[in-house]
Formats: sequence, C-alpha cells, structure tokens
Amino acid sequence: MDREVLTLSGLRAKLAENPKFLYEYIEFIYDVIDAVEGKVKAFITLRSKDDVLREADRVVDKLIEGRAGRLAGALLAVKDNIVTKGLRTTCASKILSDFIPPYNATVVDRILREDAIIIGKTNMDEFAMGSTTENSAFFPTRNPWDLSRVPGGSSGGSAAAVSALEATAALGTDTGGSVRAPAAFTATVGLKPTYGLVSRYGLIAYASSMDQVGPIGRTVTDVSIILDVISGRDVKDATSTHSRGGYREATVEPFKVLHPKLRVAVIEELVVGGVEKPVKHSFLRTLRKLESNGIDVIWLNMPISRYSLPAYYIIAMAEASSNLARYDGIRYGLHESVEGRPWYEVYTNVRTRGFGKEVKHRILLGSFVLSAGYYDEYYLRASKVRKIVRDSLLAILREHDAVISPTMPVLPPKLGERIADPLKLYAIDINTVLANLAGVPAISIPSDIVNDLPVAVQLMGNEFDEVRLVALARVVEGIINLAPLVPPLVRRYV
Amino acid sequence: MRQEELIGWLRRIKKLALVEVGKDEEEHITKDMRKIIEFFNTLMEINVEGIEPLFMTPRKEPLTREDAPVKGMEQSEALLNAKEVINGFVKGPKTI
Amino acid sequence: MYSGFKVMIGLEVHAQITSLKTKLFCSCPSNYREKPPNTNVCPVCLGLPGSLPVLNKKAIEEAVKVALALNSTPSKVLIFTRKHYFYPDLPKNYQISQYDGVGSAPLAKGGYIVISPTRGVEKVVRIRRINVEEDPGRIVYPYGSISASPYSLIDYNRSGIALLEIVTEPDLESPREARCFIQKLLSILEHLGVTDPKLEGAVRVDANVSVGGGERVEIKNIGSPKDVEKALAYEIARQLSIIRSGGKVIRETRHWDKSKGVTIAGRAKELEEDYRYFPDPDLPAIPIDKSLIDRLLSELPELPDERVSRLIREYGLTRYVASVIVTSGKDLADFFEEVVRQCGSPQLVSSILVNELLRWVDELNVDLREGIKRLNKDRLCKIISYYNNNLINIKLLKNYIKEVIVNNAEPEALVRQGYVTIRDCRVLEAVIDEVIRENPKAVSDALKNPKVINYLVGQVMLKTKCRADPRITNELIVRRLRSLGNVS
Ligand SMILES: [Zn+2]
Repeated sequence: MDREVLTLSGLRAKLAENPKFLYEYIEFIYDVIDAVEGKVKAFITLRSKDDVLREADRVVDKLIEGRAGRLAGALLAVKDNIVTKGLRTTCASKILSDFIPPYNATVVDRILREDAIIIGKTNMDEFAMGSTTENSAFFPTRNPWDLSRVPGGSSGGSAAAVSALEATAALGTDTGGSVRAPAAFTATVGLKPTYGLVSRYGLIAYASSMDQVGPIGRTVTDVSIILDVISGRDVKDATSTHSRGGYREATVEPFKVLHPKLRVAVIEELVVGGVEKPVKHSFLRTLRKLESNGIDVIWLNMPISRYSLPAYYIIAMAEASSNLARYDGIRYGLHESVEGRPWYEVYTNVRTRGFGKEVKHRILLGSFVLSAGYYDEYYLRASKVRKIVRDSLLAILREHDAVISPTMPVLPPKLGERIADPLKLYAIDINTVLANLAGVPAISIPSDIVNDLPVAVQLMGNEFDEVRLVALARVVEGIINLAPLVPPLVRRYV
Repeated sequence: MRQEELIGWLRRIKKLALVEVGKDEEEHITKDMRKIIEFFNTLMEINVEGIEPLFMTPRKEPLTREDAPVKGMEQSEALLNAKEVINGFVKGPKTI
Repeated sequence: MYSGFKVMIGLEVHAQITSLKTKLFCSCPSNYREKPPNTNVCPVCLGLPGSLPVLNKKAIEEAVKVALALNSTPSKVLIFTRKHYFYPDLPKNYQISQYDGVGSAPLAKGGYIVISPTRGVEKVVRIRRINVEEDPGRIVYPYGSISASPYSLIDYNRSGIALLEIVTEPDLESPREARCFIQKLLSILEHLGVTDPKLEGAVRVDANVSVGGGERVEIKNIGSPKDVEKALAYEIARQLSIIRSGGKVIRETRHWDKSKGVTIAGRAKELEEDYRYFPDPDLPAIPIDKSLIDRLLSELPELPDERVSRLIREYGLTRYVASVIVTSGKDLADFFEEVVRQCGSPQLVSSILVNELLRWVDELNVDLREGIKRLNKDRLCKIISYYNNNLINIKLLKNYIKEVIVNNAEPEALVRQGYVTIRDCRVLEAVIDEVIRENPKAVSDALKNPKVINYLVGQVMLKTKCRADPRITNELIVRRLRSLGNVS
C-alpha cells in the first residue's frame, strides 16, 4: 500500500479522487489484521470484514454523491470503554464481558455521523487502570515495535492497532496519560483534550474529573481532524464545553494562529529524576533541534510537580471506587443467581469474581481515602495539591506557548517488568498526570527511535487552546521530521 | 501503619466496598497497600493551609437541562442486559 | 412531657418535586405512576455504564422557592454530592444528594415553620437543612413482606425523581406536634405548587425520637402525617416501657409496619456504614444568583400563614378554624373559598368543613380530595340553601353531609325522598300524641319540671328521624302539656 494513504488525511484525498478505493483499502487493512493481530492482540471485539464492507457501500455512495462526512472511509478502532450500541463493550473486565450497550457514546454518534466505520473495540487495562495494557482481564496487547514489550496503556489496543496498520486511527481515553503513554510507546500521535472539550457521555467512567476521550493517529493533522469531529458541547454531559473548532486548519497553516517567536518551557522536574538516560538524551537532542529552528527553550522549576503523582492517584482511586460501585451483576454484567440470597452476599461475590486484582486494589484504596477519618488527610489534601498544581501550571502556560517534556520517562518496558510493583507502575505516569490534574490539553508526538524503540515528547498547552497546541505540535512534528513511522512488523505492507 | 492496623482497616474497607480478597492474598495486598499509603503520605510534606480544594476544573458555563420530557428506552432495551427478569421487573436478591 | 420524660422528635421529610415534568438528572417523564415496570427509564436513571447526570434547570427554582418559603437561607452555589451505600433499589450504588461539609453544601440551611398544635398555642419548629436529591427505584416483594420473599423485584421507573429532603431540629415534643408539622409543611409545599402530597408515595417521612434523653431511634419510611403520629405514639410507648422496666433503649433503625401498627427492628448492623461523601465530579457547581432569589421571592404565591390571616380578616373565622382549614391542605382552603364565594355563610361553611367533612373523611379513612369531590361545591351550596330556607334543620344538615360523603348521595334525592323538616302541625301533633301515650311517666314529670320537655322533643325527633322542626315541636308539646295540666 502507498504510504501516502496510511494517514487519515491521505486517505481522504485518495477517496475524494476515487471513492471505490475504499474497498481496496478495507481489503488491505484486513490483510494486515489477518497477518499480525494474532501477535499484537489489539482488539477485544473485531468486526467482520463482511460487516465492514456492507457499511462501506453506504459510504462509497455518499462519496460518489459528494455528501460524505469528514471521516468518510476511516476505519476507526474504538477503545472498549466507550459504549457502542449493539456492539459488546467490556472495559476489558470480566464483570462486563457480555455487556451489550443499548446506546451510543456521544463521540461514537459523532464519528458515525461523519461516516467513519468502526472496525472494532480495542484492548485496554481493565477499567483503564494501568499504563501497560497488561491489566486486561482477557489478554495483554503487545507493542508492534517489539512484541516482547508493552504498548503502553491504558489505551494500548487503540495505539497498537494504529501503529500496526490495523486501523486508520483510533479513539482512546486518557485519565492520567492513557492516550499519550501508548502513543509514545508505539510512535503514534495521541491527544488528550482540555477537560470538557470532548463529551464523556458513554465513556465508562474511571475518574470522572479527569477522564477525556482523545484521538490517536499517525500524524498531528490526523488527530486534529478527529478532534474537529468529536469536540464540542453535549447536552448529555454537564461538564462539556463549546469547541472553537478549526483544529485541522491550524495544522495546515500553523503560523496563522501562532506567534512567529515560539517559546516553550521545560519543567526541570519532568526531565531529571525518574527519566531514563536514553530517553533523557534523546529529549535533549530534540530540544537542540527545536532551538536550532528558532524556538526558545526556557528551563524552569515547578516544585509542586513532584507531588502530582500521589495527588493524582488518590483522586483517581477515590473517584474510581465510587464509579465502580454500580457493578453488582443485577442490571448488567457478570451475574449470579439471586434466589434466596441476601444482596450483600450476591454483590460481594460478583464483585470479587468480576474485578481483577488491580481494580480491586484501587477500589479498596479509593474507599479508604474517602472514608470517615481519612477524607481530610488524603482526598481533601490531594484536592488542595491539585489546586496548587493547576495554578502553577497555568501560570507557566500563560508565559509560554507550551510545556515540553518527554511523554514517558522510560522506553517501552518488557511485559511483566513494571506490573509486579505498583509504585514502579505508577511511576511511569509522572509526566502525563499533570495535564489531567490541571485539566489542560496535552499531545504526544514521536520524537525519536532509540534502540529500535519509539520515544516521544509531550506538549502541554493552555486550557481550551487546542488550536495553538496542535499548530505548535505540527511545527514540532515538522522539525523532528519522522512521521509517519511504521514498525518493522508491518513494513513489508508499505 | 502497623500490619495489624492495616489488616483491620482492610477488613473494614472490604465491607464498605463489597470486595473480598482471599486470605492467601491478604499479605500481598497489605504489602502493596502499605507502599501505596506511604507514597500517598508524601503529601503530608506540603503545607496546604488556606488552599481551596479543587475537585474539578471550573466550568465557565455549567450546563443544565430544560424540563422537557423525552421518551426513554423500551422495556426490552432497558432489560437487555439483565439476566433474570420477571414480568418486566428485574429480579434482585433478598433485601434483608 | 410523657409521664415526666421529655420526648424529642426530629423529622426528615422526603417530598418529591411533583411540579417537574422530568426527573432530576435525566429527561425521563416524572410521571412514573401506574406505568408497567421499567418503561420509564433511560441509561442515566438505570445507572448504565457511561451515562451521566444533567441537572433539570427548573429543579433549582422549585427547590429555592421551598427554601424561601421555609425561611431558610439558600446556599450561594448548588453542589451535588455522592452518598455511597449499596442497596438493590439504587442503580449506581450511590445516591446523588447533598451534604454539609468541606467542598459540599446543602441547598439551604436554617429556617423554621410555626405550627399550632392546639387551639391558641403556637410553636416554632426549626429547620436544620434542605437537600435536593434523587429518588431510588422501587422494590416489590413477591411474597408480601421483606423477610418472606426469597428475592426482590425491582422497578426503576421512579429512579431519579427529584426529591427534597427537609430535616428539622429535634424540636418536636409529641406525635401530635409531629403530625401538625408535616401537615403544615405539606400545605406550604402545596401552596407553592411544588409538591402534590396526594400523589401516592410523593411524601415519605423518617422520624427520630428519643425519650428522657436516651438513645435516638430512627423510624424509616412512614407514608402519611397520620401514620407519623401513630408510629411515634407506638415508639414512645415502646421506649417508655423499656425505661420503666429498667432497660436501656438502643440506638437503631426501625421500620413502621402500617398494617400491624407497630415499629419493627431493621436488620442488624453487620454492614459498615460510611457514606464516603464527595462532590459529584459529573455535576459542576451552579451559582444561585441573588437575582434569581429576588425574582423567586417576588413571585412567591400566598402561603398558608398569610392565607390564615386573610381568612380571619375576610370571613371572620377564628384563628383555629382558619388554620385547620389551611393546614389540612390547599384543596380544602380552596374549596372553602369557592363555596363561600357562591353561597356565602362562611361561618356555617367553615364549621361544616372542620366538624363534618374532616370527621367523616377521617372515620372512613378516605382521601380528603375524595371527600371534597363527593361533597362538591354544588351539593354543599344546595344543602346550605335548604338550610337557609328552613327546608332542613341543623340536624338534618349534618345528616345530609354524612349521607353525601359516606354514600355519595345527591341532596336533591334526599329531599325527594321526603327527608326534610316536618313543619306541618297536624303531622307533628300525631307524632306527639304517640309520644305522650307511650311516655306517661315523662309526661307527668314534665308537668312538674319543664326541663323534661326536651326529652319529649327528643322522642319526637327519634320517631321522625330528626325531621321534626324542633322549635315547632317544642311549642306544640308545651301547648299540649298545658292542656293536659288543665285537665288534671
Ligand atoms: Zn431516565
């Protein structure tokens, strides 16, 4: 397949010329899936090629008639914590392993309205709790760049599918880095929008005050096209807000929205400390490239950032313990016969059997930090730290176009390397949780290949200023000049 | 936190959250929990006096809804995922 | 005081905001009654994964109106809080409610209601706070009682209905006061147009009661003001008997068993209770502007206290009668004014409503609204005109009211059946003849003691089923006795 059409924008151009190319493209994607999915295991539920081809007929007709939507022909992989009407949605949990949603998430309605085709539902850490996609109740997903390594998480299935050419682009969700981490580890682009820019209706909640749906694609332009579609106020989500739109346009002509003299901040605490040497050196090389292209790099400190990780985990676990209370096996999900049994016994059994270990731990710890006598010490204190984090970060963002850092402090770990020790697992979220605590947008873009493994940088922007964030990301992407990257596993297809 | 204390609160929290952990798992879990709680305790180093807690990022225009009824789901849709249904009711456990 | 022990009662009244067309956090219709199970639901009120609550804007206004009417101070921001406990009627296993704590706030704090438990007595009952929250679903027990049913049946049609939780300070000192408080509160809610207390299940009360400074017992889920009075009377007697026999009342939750008329112990506390409140991150805080409060204040309708004053002023009612009429429900007060507008006689009408209508409704145990429906304006005005035209006497009038309410009789039909005052002297004299024949002793007594005449009049009344005109009968008997006296 022609490399040009691997991107969403390339595919759109091709289909505009030749609508029937869609059939060829679908055949190509399914050929790749047949060849690699058994190794990568990105999908929990994969739709049949026949179903997808049937849907393609309608899209091709629309393309021919010139009334196709902005995502016409895109084969999108959707993370399995985003509900899809009539299509099984599991959250990679045993407790929801047979859940058929009777409704669509708003983001799903929005991509379908623009004529995207959902190719399948992707693997993830159970209830999005994890950073490696090893916590799936079904199977781990593997990194297409190195099958012995994790793809990052929790949206690991979505990122791996895009990276391995099993989908045009994907939807993931990001609570503490779950879009950006797997994007970084798979050399794809992942965007976490400002909290509220994208509706959460139909996103199965992990930590409601931080969850956001975000696109994963091969280029900054691709994720911007999807952001144009999925963002904006939704009457079904009280925390959603208006979207300015124009994200794709901003990537086409970035300097229409950017100041010619760009200034990016580096928060020292995000570069020293836990960042592994190869990642750090690569990051410094990237900074030098930016500087030699006329971008000012300003180093500064944000001492409170050291505390963002525990604050994040306290808040996330507290909200998770609440959000996951509803899984009791009565109205949906894993079930046990109720006859003659008291409710607390049935509930306890279902929940004990249905939730995986990490999920149970987070529910227990979350209940603990909210319980009488501990609320002030933990949840309330963490929420105050959150306030300091947000204020400090916004202050930096007021003075700079973005904050730049390595997205992940490490190279993609081997399977099993991080998961045994919870603190080692949490530690790799150190640079991503800031954006979720503060509610600001952040994007991860591939910046390097080190030891045949992807490395990425993260740009955090001001809240509701995705227009300038994606424009800047496009500029940085151009300077780095790597994208789109194809892992060796699937290179023979392009 | 001492081990007995940890086991004590674990017992209490399990009843609050309706989640069991096996006896064999208990030691492993309390070990993890201890680590995580110590990690949480690093926040005690910060003086947060006078700081307003931030529970969610502020919204400029909080969204509300007009009081206009919309027909919801059909009964069959509402009960689609319920495993035990009797005459349109969801069959639930004993409530005592 | 109960045999020397001080009784302290606090109430938590849950009243649905029935004026809303939709539920509190989703667009499902609020009219869930009599629908087949699970047909009035959506992903939000079923608590399906991924669904999110969005606040009904009108609920804010309705709730703030109530706060203002109860002299309570509304919070500057509306904040919803999650209250966590597992139970099969609660689809998310947490209830979206409100809380008085750091980062949270109830809709309103403080306030009071003045009640008049007995003639001439006024008492201020303080309100602690008012919450807005969602109603859980409804559980049906296939074998009648909770304990006899091996499983439960759950209907989520009610899930998510907007509720007000109005909590008092423990200022109430008797079951009667508690009943008066609830009646007054419901009348206020009704006058505001916020709650229609006549709708089944629209109002539920939890009552806390302690005797002699002992532990507090909570009685859950009582359905009507009358039952609150009964349940509290039972519970106070129960606690007193424990205290008298040297025992100690334990702190617990009990349930009111309406059919048996007793409170029964709830399940033992084998489960932890810790609600783990925290602000609901799905619902951003909403400012309650001063301009909204000012507007709602200026739009408040006439409330029970003002209406009582007006009834006294306009119709010359006593304070007691006026407040009984108003606190028995807005319907009764409206009915009173409608009838008086058409046929005058406010004193007579108020006395009929307070002494006859309320009595029969109570005795028959029917809804006041049903009683008013039977004794409608047309019927009552007719009866009053019969009375004013001397077609019926006061005794017949009372009987008419009873017949109309108990048997749904038409006043005209009663007249047609000849059930009217007998003023025909010949007819009355024939009856008097009979009475004199049958009561020789009374007659001879009456000749010596005129007071005994009343007994003879009573006998005539008995024979005529109250139809005899008492004044004419009296005159005829006196005349007759006089002639008898002459003979002897
Ligand atoms: Zn609903």
